[in-house]
Amino acid sequence: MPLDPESTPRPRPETPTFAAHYDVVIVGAGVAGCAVAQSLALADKTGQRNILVVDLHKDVSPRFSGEMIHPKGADVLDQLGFYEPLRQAGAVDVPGFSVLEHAGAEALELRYDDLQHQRPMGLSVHHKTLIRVMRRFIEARPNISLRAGFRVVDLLREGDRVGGVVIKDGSNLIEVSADLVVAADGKASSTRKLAGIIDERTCLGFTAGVEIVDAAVPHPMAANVILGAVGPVLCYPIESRGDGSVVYRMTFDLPNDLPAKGRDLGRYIQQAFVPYLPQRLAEQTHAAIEARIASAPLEMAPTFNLPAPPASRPGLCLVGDAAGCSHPITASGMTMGLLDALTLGEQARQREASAGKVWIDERAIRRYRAQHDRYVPTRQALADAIYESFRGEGVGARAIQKALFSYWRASPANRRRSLALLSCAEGRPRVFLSEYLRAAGHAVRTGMRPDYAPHYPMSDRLRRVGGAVEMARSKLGLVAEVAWAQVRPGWIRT
Amino acid sequence: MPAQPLSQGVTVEQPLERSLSRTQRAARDWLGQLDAGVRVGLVPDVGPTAEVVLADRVLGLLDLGERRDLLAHIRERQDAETGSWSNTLGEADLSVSALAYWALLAGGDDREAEWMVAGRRAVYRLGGAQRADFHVRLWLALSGMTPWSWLPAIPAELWLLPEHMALSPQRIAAWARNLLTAYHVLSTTPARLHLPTPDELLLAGADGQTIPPRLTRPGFSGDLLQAFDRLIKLSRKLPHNLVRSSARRTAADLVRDNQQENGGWFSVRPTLASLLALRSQGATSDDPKLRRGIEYVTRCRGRNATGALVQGLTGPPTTVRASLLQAAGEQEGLVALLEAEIDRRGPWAARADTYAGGWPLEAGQEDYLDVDATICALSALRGLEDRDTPRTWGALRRAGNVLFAMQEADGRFPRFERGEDSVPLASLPWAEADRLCFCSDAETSVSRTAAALTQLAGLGWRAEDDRVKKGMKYIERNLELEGNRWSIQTRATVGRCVAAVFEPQSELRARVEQSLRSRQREDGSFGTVVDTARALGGLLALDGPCVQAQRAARFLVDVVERSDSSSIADIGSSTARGFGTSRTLVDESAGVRETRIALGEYHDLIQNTGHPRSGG
Repeated sequence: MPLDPESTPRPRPETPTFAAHYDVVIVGAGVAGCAVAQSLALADKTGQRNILVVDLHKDVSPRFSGEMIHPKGADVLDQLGFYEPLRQAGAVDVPGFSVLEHAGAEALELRYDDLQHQRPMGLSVHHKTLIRVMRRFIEARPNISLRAGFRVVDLLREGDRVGGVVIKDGSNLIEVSADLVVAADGKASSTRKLAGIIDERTCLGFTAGVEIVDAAVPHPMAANVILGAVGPVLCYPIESRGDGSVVYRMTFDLPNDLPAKGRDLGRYIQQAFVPYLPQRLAEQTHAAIEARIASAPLEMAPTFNLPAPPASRPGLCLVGDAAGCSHPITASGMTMGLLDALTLGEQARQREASAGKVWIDERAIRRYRAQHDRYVPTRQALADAIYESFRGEGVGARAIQKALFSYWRASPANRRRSLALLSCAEGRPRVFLSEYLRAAGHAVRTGMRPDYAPHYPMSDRLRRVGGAVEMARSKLGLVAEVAWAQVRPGWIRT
Repeated sequence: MPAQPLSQGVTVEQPLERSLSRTQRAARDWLGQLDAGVRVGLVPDVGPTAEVVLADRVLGLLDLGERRDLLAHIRERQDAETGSWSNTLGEADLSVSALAYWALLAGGDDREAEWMVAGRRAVYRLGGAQRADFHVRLWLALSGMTPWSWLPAIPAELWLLPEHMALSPQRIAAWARNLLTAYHVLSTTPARLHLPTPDELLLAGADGQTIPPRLTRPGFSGDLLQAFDRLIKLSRKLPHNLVRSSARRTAADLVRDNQQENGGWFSVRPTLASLLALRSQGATSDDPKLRRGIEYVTRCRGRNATGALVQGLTGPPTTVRASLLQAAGEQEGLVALLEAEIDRRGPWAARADTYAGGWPLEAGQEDYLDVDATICALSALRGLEDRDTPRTWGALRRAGNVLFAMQEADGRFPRFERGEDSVPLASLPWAEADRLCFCSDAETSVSRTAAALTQLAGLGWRAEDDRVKKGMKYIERNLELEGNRWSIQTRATVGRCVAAVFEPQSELRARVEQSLRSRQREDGSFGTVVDTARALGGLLALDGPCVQAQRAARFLVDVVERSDSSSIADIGSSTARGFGTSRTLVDESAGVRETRIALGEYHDLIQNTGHPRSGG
């Protein structure tokens, strides 16, 4: 069924109807929300279950958001039936990452097809296209009701249990009960807040983005990461057009205290980032920013670090960014959301409850959380460490960054192992720990070895090594947490 | 003519516009004169002029007219009252006086002429020629007037040490390294210069014997070193010392290899010593190295503000050229500046872990990165109309990386090489050990660090970066210690830096701003023209066109309005850091170019904001 992402939404009745009760209410019709809806719909053996998806935005959130999906996520999209419609709408197969230490360096390729037992390609797609296609797709399912343009303002409670949502429709408040509420409303989830789940969200900064046609990146169809400037620059394809051209998204990582605002921000990026890009790409970026700021400010989105909060409460599940998010540098956010959808769908599929009974009960919710808690900490720890070293703030971070490149240059096996972890294809604690130790050991060695200066003072070498060791030490707690998350028995979980 | 009030909607006839166009023209004239060798970028004392007159005997550096003009300049610079010659700060200087006297003697002046007697007496008063610095004693030894033992003996073995060793001559600051290598070659060569000997400049004891200088500092360690010095000198008397001859060959090779594309060896003094070393090694007058070196010395000569012919220490320095280009808005010159970027790693890169980039002390000196020049070039390139090109981006990126790589562990930035002020050999108790370093005083380091951080902020590096933080901490520490003694120019440079790096609410920014504002005088100036221009730039960066900035701008406009076409090029000067004996230099174009740059920024701001602000 080809879906046109630009086609006008299906007209909604003047007074949209809400049933008094749904089996599942999903708050948020983003990637995770739509995927959960589809996953549950496919898991519904009876065909009698009602799933409601509610979203605040009638169309798509105006902010640009995640667009890169690792093969594991692409696999989920395929299983859920989204993959083909997305490809038809312009989504691009991505063979992996290309990482550039600085503009004059040789790009290092981290290829998905080097990994065994998984798809050789990830997927990248313009966020608005992604959401429009997914929404249209789930709208076509008879047992899913998508209601866009409504705000969930409260949760219904049955004792300690979440028993539904209160939806605001103009001046009316509509109570909708549900056996399960799924919070898929992103990192700033209001559902999470309404449920009283305390989070430790911190704003890391901002990401500004522009679109470039046929960007001259070192590896055209890969996700390119370019370092050297004040923050990492990402450039990845988001749309393959009919005329053979490819649209790329270019993002710039900005600090929390924005150095400039409005159109001045474009000028700041011209000064602070463009000189650090490879020659041809710099010219294209400069022209794209000039064209953009002539008519409107740059597209911006805040970046958050949200250490994974408890992913469930009785009657409530958190999925996607609502259940923890990191800096988008590892492009694993949407993959996590899709894995959450798959996991929840699997729990639903295992249930044999008949139509009149509770479909996803507390046991299924606990099982979902047990699975979720195994893969999320690894991803968060990696994203945190990679972001810190790629940002290069501090002598230790720069030493680790240098060590990472040296490590990746050293052998294809090193690149393969790192990519397996980064792309969520590998989650075993043994592998995670051994990778961590190898990178730390490499940092000590490369810290003592300058890149250029033959008589680099010993004090400077030791400072580098000390910085790297300090950074590695500061991550030990995180590493232990990740390892523990993998082996923790379910009965310990609260 | 009193300054006219500035108002909105300025037109060409109005004073600000007029001042801008006049100073811009003057900056262009300056550039033309610098490039044609008519003017000297940074004017030293008469020391280098005197040395060129002395070296002329051997190297044939001057024609008759030049020789006459240089001698006239030396005579003209003599203090009529004291008979001495001063450095550029106006302090009587023994070394400069001894060299000047000697040059006049070599030029044919009668020892009993009135000015020569006065000059001789001044040298006596200052302690006699044997107390002059290493440089003068080198000339005395070269002429055979004093024994080589009056100069410190440098163990020949040092030249055989690997470069990474702490005592290797490669670890010495760039200026001293070139001079010392040439000195080593000269001191081990029997050749002598035939110059009229000013024996009368040496003070003699009661027994009529000249008093030798003490080479080491007083105290036990100094005595030990003195004994070591004697031992080395004795060992030189041994025949067929293989190590020594091998070291001499190495030093001679270094002299040959270290010549730069522009023909010089870092600056004029090391160049003269290197040329003499080449001559002592048998180079004839048609040797290309010798000829190129002589051409370099010739290019470094020009006129000063009074029209006198003087010997400069370098050719047009990049710091001066870049600022003049910025003031003049010379697009072709800015493109040429871009092309003058360093594209190979020189000795500076031995301890700075980065690829090549940045700008040298002067054009054609690829081996000597100059952090000050890099800062000025980065600032000037902002005026390049067609700056959004890959060539410019690449140069900016490389310069930013070079600046970061040059940063010292405590956050400050050195001038030429990392660790140039902490040379291990300089920690020995030699009397003039500090000459082996290139030491910047704390205020100069603060100013350089602030200027470097301002340029790095322009490349996006703000207070979040640990290296910027480290630099700011260095500035803050010094502000606490001696901020109240800082010059206006340092306050203004730090003001620009904190404005570029910090948010307007920053406490440090408020303190720096206050310390700058409080120095404005009744007439709107901050002291000299250059001080006022720099302060205006600082105020504009901190708070835009406020009332105080408006008053400073009005003062500058008034200065420009009062100058005529012949005096505008020299409306103000500043001092700059020199090398060796000439520790300070006069920057004669500073007034016109800083005025143009500051008024240009003021003009642009009031054009953008509509009018000067009434609040301050």
